[in-house]
Parts: sequence; C-alpha cells; structure tokens
Amino acid sequence: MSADRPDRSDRSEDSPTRGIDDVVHQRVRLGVLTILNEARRVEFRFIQETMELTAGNLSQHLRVLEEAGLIKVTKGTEGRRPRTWVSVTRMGRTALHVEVDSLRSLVERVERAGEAPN
Amino acid sequence: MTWLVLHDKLICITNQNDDSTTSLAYADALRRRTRVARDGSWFALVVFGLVVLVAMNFYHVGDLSAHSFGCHGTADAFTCTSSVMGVGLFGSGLGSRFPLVNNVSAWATTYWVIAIFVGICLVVAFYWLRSRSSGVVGRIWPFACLATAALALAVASRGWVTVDIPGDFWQRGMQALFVIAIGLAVLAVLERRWSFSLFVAGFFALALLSSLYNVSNLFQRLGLGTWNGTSQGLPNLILPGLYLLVGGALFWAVGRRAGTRHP
Repeated sequence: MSADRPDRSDRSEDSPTRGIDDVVHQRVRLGVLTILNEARRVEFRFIQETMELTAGNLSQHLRVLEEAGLIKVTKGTEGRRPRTWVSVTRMGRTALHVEVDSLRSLVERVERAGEAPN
Repeated sequence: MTWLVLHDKLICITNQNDDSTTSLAYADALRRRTRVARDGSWFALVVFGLVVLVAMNFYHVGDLSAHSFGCHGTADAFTCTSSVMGVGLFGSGLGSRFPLVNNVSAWATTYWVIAIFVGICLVVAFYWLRSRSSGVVGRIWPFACLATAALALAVASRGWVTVDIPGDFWQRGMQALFVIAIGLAVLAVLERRWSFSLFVAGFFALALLSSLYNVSNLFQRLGLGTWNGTSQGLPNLILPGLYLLVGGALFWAVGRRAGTRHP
C-alpha cells in the first residue's frame, strides 16, 4: 500500500470498523472500484455516465485512487477521439474485497446487536 | 435505536449501519450495470442455438443406395466402399462424402467444424464491438482460445472416439454439442454469473441426452409430432438448439431490465 495511506494499527482486532479504509470507503471511490472490478478496463466516459459525475469530480477521485496504487489510468486515442482507460490493480481488488467484507460484517454486527434484548 | 459495544464503550451506530447498507446497495447496483454493459453471453447462446438448428439440414438424409457416392450395383443389391468411413467425426468424415451414421449427411462434420469456428469468431467480434460502444472491456480471449482448442482436439481425436466412453455415445453423431458446451462453460467462468453457469450445466446434460437417447421418443410421448425414418434424429438437435435460443432471449431480456435500473 502507499506510504501516505492512514495507519489503522490502533484499531483493535475486534473493532467493527477494522478493515475500513478511508481511501476506499468514500462512496464514489467505492463505486469506481466496484465498476473496475467487473472488467479488464473501463473507459472514463462509462464511469462518469454510470455514476452521474462531472468530469472534474471523477478526475479528482481517480487521482486519489491512482496515488494510492489502487487503479491505473491509461490515456490514448482511437482514431481522432481521445480515450482514457481505467483499470484496477491487484492491490485495488484486494482493498475493495476487504472494504466490502468489512461493511458486510459491520451491518451484520449492528443487526445482531439490534435483535439482542435490551 | 441500535447500540453496540465498541472499545468497552456503549455507542450508537445506527447511522453508520444505514450508510454501510446504502453503500453496499449502491455498489451492488453499479456492479449489475457494469456486468450488463460488458455481458454478451446471450449473443453466444443465440449464435450457437442457430448453429445447432441449421445442422438439422445434415441429419435427415436417406440411407445409402446404389446411387450414393462410392456405391455400385442394382437397387436391390449394391456394395459401397467403406475404406474411408473410419475417419468419421461428429457423424461423418471431415470432408468425406461417406456417411458414418444413419441419416447423417457426409458433410455434417465439415459443417460443424466451419459453423462452430465461425460462431466463435462472431462471439469474439460481438464482444469487441460491444466494448467499443459501451466502454467496458471484459476478457474474451480465453473463450476464443479454449473453444478453438476444444474444436481442434475433437477433430484430432475424431469426435473423442479414442476415449473409452461406454454406451452408444458415437452412434448419433452429436459430439459437436460438447464442443459448444465446453466453449459456453469457459464463457460462464468469464462472466462469473451463477445463472449462466447453471444454464450451461443444463446444456451439458442435454448434449449427453442427445448423444445417448433418441429424443424423438420423448417428443412422441409428449405429442410433439411424429418422427420416423430420416427425420428420427432431428429432435436430438431441436431440443438443445431451442434451449440455447430461448435461453439467449431470456438472458438478453433479463440483462436489458437490469441495465435500466438506476444505482
């Protein structure tokens, strides 16, 4: 992982928020990684249209993910048309799976706590 | 109100739970939309369904007669040269004009090999064009390579005649269905969808049924026409062919519906 990613070692083994990464946890970035995880590579335009974001907003989120080493951005042209392709790295796939597992266990934990007698 | 013990302190994380649930639902909706944009498996089912149905043209020819290629004599008594009949595959020899299985044209194998290869090329082309228009590129080359390899292996082993399979597996010349089934199984792995994997497992079962059983018996019991003489083998192709076509239409409709749902 990137050196400037937040250190989560202070969270105990039992903490329900353990595994939740601030870079991935942000909803737009979680969405971007989810989309990329389903394909070998995805065009910038598809992500923008599917998530209904402005180009500037999406670019900012992609930069954060790229700096964390979770995605790879490739620029190229097809004919005269410029195209930007985005793909997820192995580290990005792992981070996504950890995040989704953490969210699921958090939800299960809260639901279990809600079912318990007061 | 939901309470949870966190670091020995009693806290309320009801909003956290709502956030997590919403995030998971949002991610799930995005995953579905991306899969729909990438998925072309329905097209593969339609293409191979047509390949199977068109093959019916090669499965209701008459028996050998004195006028058949390589045969000579009178209408009552004739002899045929059978020296090349042993090179059979999928019911008849590749490029040979000698049939190996009753009611099967000598050109059946040639048809299967060309049609399946063209089918593979069409599916790859469809995925490529779709990725250009949608902007989502999946993996399709493993399908192209493994399906072509299965076809080549089937040709090299003469329809797996070198493999010791009990029963009358080769008597109906339906081995080509297994090449299609292998190709679809690779596609199921690439698409990572349980529904499609189950559908392909069903097609494997139908390919086995068509190879080992006269499906015309089943059709007649169900009152679906009479299948005698040269048309007896056709239900063995109609059933798997229609299964693929109907499946392709269903997967297309389901995908279209899922794609219109907003995340």
